[in-house]
This record gives sequence, C-alpha cells and structure tokens, in this order.
Amino acid sequence: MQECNIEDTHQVQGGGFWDFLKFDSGTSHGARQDGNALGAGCGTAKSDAFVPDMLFGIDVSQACFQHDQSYSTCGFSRATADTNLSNNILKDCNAQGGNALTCNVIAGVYSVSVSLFGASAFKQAQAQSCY
Amino acid sequence: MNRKHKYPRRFWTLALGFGLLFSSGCSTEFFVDKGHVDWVGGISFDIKPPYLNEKKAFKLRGENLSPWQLQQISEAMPFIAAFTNTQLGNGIAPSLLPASEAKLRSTREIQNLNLDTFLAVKTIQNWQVTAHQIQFTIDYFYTGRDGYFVYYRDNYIFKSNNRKWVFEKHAKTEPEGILVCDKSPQGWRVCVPLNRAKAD
Repeated sequence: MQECNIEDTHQVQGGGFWDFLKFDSGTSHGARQDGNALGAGCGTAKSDAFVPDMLFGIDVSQACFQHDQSYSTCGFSRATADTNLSNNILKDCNAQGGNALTCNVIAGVYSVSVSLFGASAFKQAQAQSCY
Repeated sequence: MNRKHKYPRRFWTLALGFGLLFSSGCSTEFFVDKGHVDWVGGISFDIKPPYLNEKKAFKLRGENLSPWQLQQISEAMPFIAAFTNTQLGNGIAPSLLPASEAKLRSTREIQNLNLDTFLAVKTIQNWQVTAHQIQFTIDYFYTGRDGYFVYYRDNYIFKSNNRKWVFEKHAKTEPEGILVCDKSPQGWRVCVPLNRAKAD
C-alpha cells in the first residue's frame, strides 16, 4: 500500500493558510527559475525580479508573455493587446482555481500597470518589429 | 523557513519593489525592454531584437548542456528565433509567408487557426546538440474558442549550412501535439504532452 505522510499531502494540495499571499517573480539569484532568459513572463529584463509572475498563488506568466509578444507584433493594436491581457488573466486564473474576487483583483492590477507604463514599452516594441 | 514567515516577507519585498518602481521618475526604463546579454555556462547569448520575445523563450538552464553545445545554440539562436517568428505567422497574410517546404508542419494549419488567432511561443527546449545538428521542441500557445489557453508542442532539427542554421526536418514523424498543463506544488504551470499524461 502506498504511504502518504502529512508533508506529501500538503505538497499535493499545495494549500496553506498563507497561500493567498503567494507572490513570486519567478526569479532567483538573478536568473529565472523556469530556465528562460530574464524578461520572459511578466516584466522586462530589468524589472523581472520585481514584477510578480505569480500573484495570490496564480501563475499569470503566460498572459504576460502573450501580451509582450502582441506588443512586438508590427501593427498590433495596443488596446487589443491590453484587453487580451485582462481577459487572459481572468480566464487563466479561473482555470487555476482562483475565485472571482482574486481573479478580478489580479486582472485589475495588471491592467492598471500596463495603462500606466505600457505606452513607452509599446512604442519601443513596435519600432523594433516594424522594419 | 517557516511558510508563515516566508510569504509575508515576499509580499513586503515585492510591495517595496513596486513602490520604488512606481515612485521612480525613471520607471519607464524598467518597463521598456531593449534587450540584454545573457550568460549561461560562460557562453553569451544576445537576447536582443529582432525577435526579442522568441529569444526570451529559449530555455537554456537546467538542460544539462556543455559549453560547446551552448556555443552552438548561441550561434543558431538568431536563425531559430526568426524561424519561430515565421511559424507563429501573426499578422502576416498567407500570401506573404515564405513558401513553406513540404516537410515543414504548420501549427496554424494543424490546429485550424485563422489569422485572427494570436499564436505565441512559450518555451523552446529539450535541446539535443551534435556536431552539425540541433534538435529541440517549441511549445506554442493560443487562446482557444472557449477563452482558455491551448498549448501545443512540435519538434524540429536544424543543420548548419555555410555558417547559417536552417530547418532540416522534424525530429519525429508526428508532433507531440496538445499539452496538458497542471500546477506544480510551487504553483507554476507544468505541461506534458496529452498522450504522455494519459499513459501516466
């Protein structure tokens, strides 16, 4: 019979009282934990260590990566890219078991962030991709 | 460390980081990516435009690669990144795409994706490097009709030809196909091919 101790059970469930405070930039000692280059996921190479890829225990890195790639596609609308980011976070958060409040808060935080700081990033990405 | 103390500490560290970024007059500098040079195992990788995001998707750490193998990938990176960008085919009319070789599979065609569907690259990994050949897989993803992400993997072999690296053939007769992604105990998404997930 398979043995299962308390610690294993905890790991499988991944739950815990403080998990709602689970924030992680996905970086450690100046490198990304997933093995990709800095700037993959949420944030740029310079801000990767500060911008969370995981918020409230929800992995939002794919939504960020798609958003970055949208910005880097020549002619892609910034408004569409930002709307897609919000929608993707909501759906992806839901798929990971996040509740409505958590998912809306996360989507809101990232939407405000790209509204405030996205203009110059979009301009730069378009300049690099349209040639 | 006790989890009770770990997460609040991370929270305040990130809150402080956010605060510094938002209050800084130079904050745009942090959010505009002009590229950088990445060093892996003593080998440099130019994570710079063009195809900046495709280059960021290269998973080079934790792949058990020797310095020589990393050097080969470093030289092939611009070619593989350009190839990946063409495979994504975002915003490019089919008539403007280069005539695809008969042996090259199109992810868009296989997955029946129209031009409105944004196809992104997640990870380029599973490297196998020999003298004149580099084998790897590309994980793509897109937003499905139900609004959820769909992940898809295919395999490729590149060969060197006059200091250029070009697509030679697929490593397998079939793509790995749709991936099943689950959360790891640490909370990160881990993807495996659907066929393997069923076997497990």
